[in-house]
Amino acid sequence: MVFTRIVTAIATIWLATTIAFVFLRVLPGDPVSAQAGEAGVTSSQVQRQRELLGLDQPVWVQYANYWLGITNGDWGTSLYTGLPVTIMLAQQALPTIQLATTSIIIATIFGFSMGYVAALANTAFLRRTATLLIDLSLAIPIYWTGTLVVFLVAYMVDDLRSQLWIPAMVLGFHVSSSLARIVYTQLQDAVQQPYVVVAHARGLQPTVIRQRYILRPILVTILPAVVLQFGYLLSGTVITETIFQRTGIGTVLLRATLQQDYPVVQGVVFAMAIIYVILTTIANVLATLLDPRLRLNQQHA
Amino acid sequence: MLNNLRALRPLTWVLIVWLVIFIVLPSFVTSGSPTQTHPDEQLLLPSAAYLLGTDYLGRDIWSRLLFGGQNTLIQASISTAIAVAIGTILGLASAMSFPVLDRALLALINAALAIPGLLLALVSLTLLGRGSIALIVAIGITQIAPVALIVRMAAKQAQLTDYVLASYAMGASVLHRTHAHILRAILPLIRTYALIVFGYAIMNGAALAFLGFQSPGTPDWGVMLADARNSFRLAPWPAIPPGIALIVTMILLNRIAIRLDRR
Repeated sequence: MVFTRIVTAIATIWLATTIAFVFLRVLPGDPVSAQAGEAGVTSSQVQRQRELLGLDQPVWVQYANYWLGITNGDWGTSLYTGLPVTIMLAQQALPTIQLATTSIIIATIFGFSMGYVAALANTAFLRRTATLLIDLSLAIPIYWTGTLVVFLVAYMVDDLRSQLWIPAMVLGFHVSSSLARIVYTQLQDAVQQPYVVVAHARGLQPTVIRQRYILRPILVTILPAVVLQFGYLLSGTVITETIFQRTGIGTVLLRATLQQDYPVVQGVVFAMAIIYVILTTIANVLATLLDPRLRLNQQHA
Repeated sequence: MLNNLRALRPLTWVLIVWLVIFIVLPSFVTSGSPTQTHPDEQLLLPSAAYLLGTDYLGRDIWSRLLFGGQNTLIQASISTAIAVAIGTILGLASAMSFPVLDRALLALINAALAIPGLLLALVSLTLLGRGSIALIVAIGITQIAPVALIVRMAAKQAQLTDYVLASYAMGASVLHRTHAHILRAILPLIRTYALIVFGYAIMNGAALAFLGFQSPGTPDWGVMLADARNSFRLAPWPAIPPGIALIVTMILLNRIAIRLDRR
């Protein structure tokens, strides 16, 4: 069981990195000639640069070299800054991690409350307002809210770049929408379950029913869903960091893409694949811990 | 066909009309050019001459909104077609083939899903560069794996239905079974999911255009929003129309997808 999981995890990281490698080598275009076109350098210089980067070698040799480097902790060197990719990413990791964790906390609180109110609030007015808010938050592009918020807040805050809470609120609001949707549908399902109806018929306290019969079972679905929002969160940080002019991995990635600095892009994919696999594992373990049925299945298997 | 049309609910009609406005109308209605700059008429408020005002280069926002919608929506449609076609073929191939190939394809699909959508698009854009075609390909690529995963799952379920098993017992070929039974059985699901993919394509396409991957100046809702940031402190109104247009499109798509999903 554990063994298969580890094998799958490693295979996923390897395959994801390989997909990125193939994209970055097979798609039309060549980083060096693109650079050369801009700077107007001679063709012999281009040739030397290609040799330096190993781009003149067959693709499979480049591929083997890439993995050899990875095993030595060498993720390649940026074509622009000349810095090792590992150092570039490590330097910029902190602001992104801060933004991402703050956002996910806000998203969890906000998403859970919106979904809860939309499904279980006492008055129809509250339920409808919350549903509308969820619909809206799913439809509004983050680059639009971000732009509006920058505009509104610019008058109140002196240095927007040093703020963490404002961008985190914007990003958190957007990540919360899909969470709210999940909470909402799960709660609606849960309320109609036979055991909930029976609990009502037996005359249990409504608060007891909510805590024990409705909320507890749906946590099993929701907590892993929170963990898996990560992909969306990363896309969100790219846009949020750009709008709020923050430093971080998102900014590094965007600049690398625009400059065709493919070793950096490749490095970000590798890091993301590792983080994704770790998070899916956490999500699986969480689900198993929370859901007795899954635990039972594993003991029998 | 006519019966199909009659069965459409009002909301779907609203969506169709909305899409037609942006895809067909620009060529007929606006007199203004979406790219013509008017250096002496920058950042004008809405007026009779410029229905929605002008942007920081003095371009007519109303015609940029219409032509931008045309670009944004046509790009998203092509990306969706690419993603759904390739994803369906991969998903069916995975579900219908030998277990070894199925597992290999599934591993590949899962690995692609380990790369967040926007990151995968950025990977493709590293070498594809900028412009409409680069965006269409990049956005199409990101949605192939999710489509393939869903098609594979649905096809696996359809394989277990009695009529498919009967067809297998009668010696029908794999191709016949796939085409005549399984594809037909999962078509409604593909249609619903195509709508969701279309929504992602619009949202992500505009996001990437916003981030600078569309050729500058092109009328495109994402580019319009990015341009609006240049003048936001002086004049916030150029940011409003493309934002509202995107939101209305997404709300319509989400509503219809949710309703189709419930059936």
